[in-house]
Amino acid sequence: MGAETEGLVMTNDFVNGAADQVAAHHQGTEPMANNTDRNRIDVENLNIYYGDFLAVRDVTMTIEPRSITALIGPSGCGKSTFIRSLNRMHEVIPGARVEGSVRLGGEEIYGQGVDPVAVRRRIGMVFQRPNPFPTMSIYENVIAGLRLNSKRLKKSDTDVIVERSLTGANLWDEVKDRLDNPGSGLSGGQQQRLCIARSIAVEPDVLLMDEPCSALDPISTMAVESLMLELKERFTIVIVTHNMQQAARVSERTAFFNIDGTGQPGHIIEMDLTETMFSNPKEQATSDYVTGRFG
Amino acid sequence: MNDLRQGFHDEMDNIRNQVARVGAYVVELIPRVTAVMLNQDLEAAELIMVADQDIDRKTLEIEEQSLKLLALQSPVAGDLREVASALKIAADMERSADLACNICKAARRIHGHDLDPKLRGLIQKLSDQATKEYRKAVDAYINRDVMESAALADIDEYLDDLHRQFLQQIIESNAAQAIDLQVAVQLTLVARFYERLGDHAVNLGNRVRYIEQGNLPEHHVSDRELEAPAGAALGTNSGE
Amino acid sequence: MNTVVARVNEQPSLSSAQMSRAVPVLIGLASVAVAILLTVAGGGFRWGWVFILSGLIYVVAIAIVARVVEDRRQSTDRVMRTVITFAFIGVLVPLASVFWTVITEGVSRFDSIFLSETMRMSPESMLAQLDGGVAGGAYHAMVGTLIVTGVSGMIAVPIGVLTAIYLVEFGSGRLASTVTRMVDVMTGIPSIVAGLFAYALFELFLGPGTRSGLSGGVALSLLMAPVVIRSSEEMLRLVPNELREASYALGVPKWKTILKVVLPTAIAGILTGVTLSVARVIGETAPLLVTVGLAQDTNYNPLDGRMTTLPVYTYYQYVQPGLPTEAGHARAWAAAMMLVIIVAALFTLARILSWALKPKGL
Repeated sequence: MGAETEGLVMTNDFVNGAADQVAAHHQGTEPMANNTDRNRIDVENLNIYYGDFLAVRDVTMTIEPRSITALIGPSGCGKSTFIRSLNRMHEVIPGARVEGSVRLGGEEIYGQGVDPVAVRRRIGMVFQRPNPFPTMSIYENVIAGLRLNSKRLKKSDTDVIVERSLTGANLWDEVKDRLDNPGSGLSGGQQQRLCIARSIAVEPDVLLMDEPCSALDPISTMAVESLMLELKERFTIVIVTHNMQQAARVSERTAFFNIDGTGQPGHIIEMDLTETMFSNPKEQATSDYVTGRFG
Repeated sequence: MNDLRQGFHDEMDNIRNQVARVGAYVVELIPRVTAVMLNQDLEAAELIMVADQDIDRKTLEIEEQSLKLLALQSPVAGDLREVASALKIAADMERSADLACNICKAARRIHGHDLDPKLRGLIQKLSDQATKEYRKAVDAYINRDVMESAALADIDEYLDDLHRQFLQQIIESNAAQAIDLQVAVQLTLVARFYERLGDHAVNLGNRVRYIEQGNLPEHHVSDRELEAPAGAALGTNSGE
Repeated sequence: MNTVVARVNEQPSLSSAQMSRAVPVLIGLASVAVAILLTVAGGGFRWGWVFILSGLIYVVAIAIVARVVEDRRQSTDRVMRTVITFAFIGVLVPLASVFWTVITEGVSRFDSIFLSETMRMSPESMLAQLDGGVAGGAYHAMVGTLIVTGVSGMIAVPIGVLTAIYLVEFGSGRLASTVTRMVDVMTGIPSIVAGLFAYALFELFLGPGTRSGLSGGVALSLLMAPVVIRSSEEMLRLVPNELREASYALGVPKWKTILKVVLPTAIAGILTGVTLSVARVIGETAPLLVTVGLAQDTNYNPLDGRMTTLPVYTYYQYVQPGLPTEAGHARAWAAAMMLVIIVAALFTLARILSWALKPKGL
């Protein structure tokens, strides 16, 4: 770096050139006009019911493709319910239903005749507690999503997929010598990365993460966050987190959910670029939440 | 263990680079404004003053990025000291660039007046010394060299000395009618500008020590103030 | 006047009085002595009375002494511990006694003849018996037990496991709660009722007097099924919901999730439950008396004709021993011992299965 200060030619060009470099560094994704991008989710007037109880009210948002969107908010504000509605996982609870529209790459996932199983093949999910299948080895865990969908694959093919997925999850070097060991023999952080590898092996368009680091220690958390920043090149990621600093570190856009009182439905207060949300949010409620003045 | 926050540390490197570039610009700027001063090159003066706007903009960018990093990345320990220092250093460097511009403005005001060789000589020395100090400071920042930055406070004494000599010379030249009052006043200000540039360099050195070791520089400044109170330079040659 | 005011904040000291270790031993010996005296005085020395009396006396004595010497909590602790220990011993003793009796009585006839021959004996062997020789065996009974239990397993296990899967994975409405209640009722069916039901069922189709291994299998399956259902249900419920969610999130349909994720995870427990249910029915006598009857020779066909099973064999050898009676009784004891060994082996198998198949991390 010392070399850079010597022999600099003093012209205005230098100053201007440097200024250009600064401008290029300025961050912020511009919304894409193309809404058939298969990694993009558009939500419109979504209301989520459990039976007659309205759990989440009137959400409208766009999840930009190949970026990380964070959902923050106090406990019980509906962010977990909302994220599960994005891949129809909330339907495993009987009586759950939605009104409104969710479109993946332009296609309505709640349309007539749409198979929830097919939706979940394109929108994967990673959960709060790492849950590798206990009866399967590491190798089998990674390939489980493909095998269980009865894809007949040759060993050579599955070898490639396993290595690619584990590399993508920054786990390959740590487990490549023990792929036949049970999946549950790994540490917490490794198990969570195994679950991420399992999810990305089926090559979804979107990866949903419901508080993926809550059960992990700080180093494992940093490892998973660093992984997320790499994965967003290929997948759209939506993360629910109750750790605001995490949302600040990893996401491009953040949505703040809140609830007016117990028994009331959750709803979005504000959604914006993360930088704005944490330095100069528009809503007072958002500012109160991120500064810790309530909730 | 490899870097788990690569992106964040890359952004910090970026801020550091930008600060270094502004610093390098200032180092190059000081001899240029001295040339303007001595050669009374009005055209160059204009260019420099226009370019100052870009510097202002650049330091603003540095400030924005530092604030963004503070908001989004919650830096701690050395990272925090680094980012907080970048804010202060950028502000100081912007001031330094402004001081250099002020020298240009002074040059404009004394346009048409000749300066005697003794004055010219001292101006050149002041410039060289200030440049030397600033370069040392910027190098110390880039290389995180605490030893270099510690040496700065001592070197700066020579600049203070030159400052006193120059003021003395101004008074003599004015008494000998070689320069009129207007010029004397402007030259006094110019002297002050060079001396302030040297102080900025020392501050930068202190900041480097803070980033590396965590000691705030204020303690040391107050020690210095006790030894040589401001304003003692003007007046009689009360030599130290 | 400070002494009048009670010191409210008096902290109890950390240590308290404790009985020395020698005391319970001494009291124990004393109570045995007293019990012996009482027994002898009451009507002659009998071990059983000595045992019970000394136990009672010990409990009372230790309670009194503990209250006096130690503080309240420790004395209560000691008394309760004594009572619980004696209760445990009280359970253990009869069990050990049963084992002891069965084995000592049965081992005399546990020979190769017993294991390879049936009750169809040649006249020579019958005569040889009268002279003290050894004849007759239970081979046909063992085969019969195997067949009948096998049949009942083939009926009860699939139905039971599938019912459990339905209750856990799909059931949430009226049908599920009705089924659960019915299963609860079935766990309490008297075995003779199951036997009569099976007999009547086969009578409906094949006429009165029908006896077959199949009929016995049906009767036993009514007794096996609730056990299989209950234990399988428990094991399936133990599978964490997160595993199912992980599978759904990969885009795997529900039935495949059950088949490939949930069942393999629960299989250890389910197999254990099946093994235990077999152990439960293998000794049932009443229903088999009614449905399967008794045969002298081996019958390999479960669909037709009477078949001997071990418990029925034991019963008849005891009730109609023939001559000499000791020979018959000896065979009965040996058969009983066989049953006990089989049940013990099944329980051990259940534990081994549970340990071997258990997925790590659950």
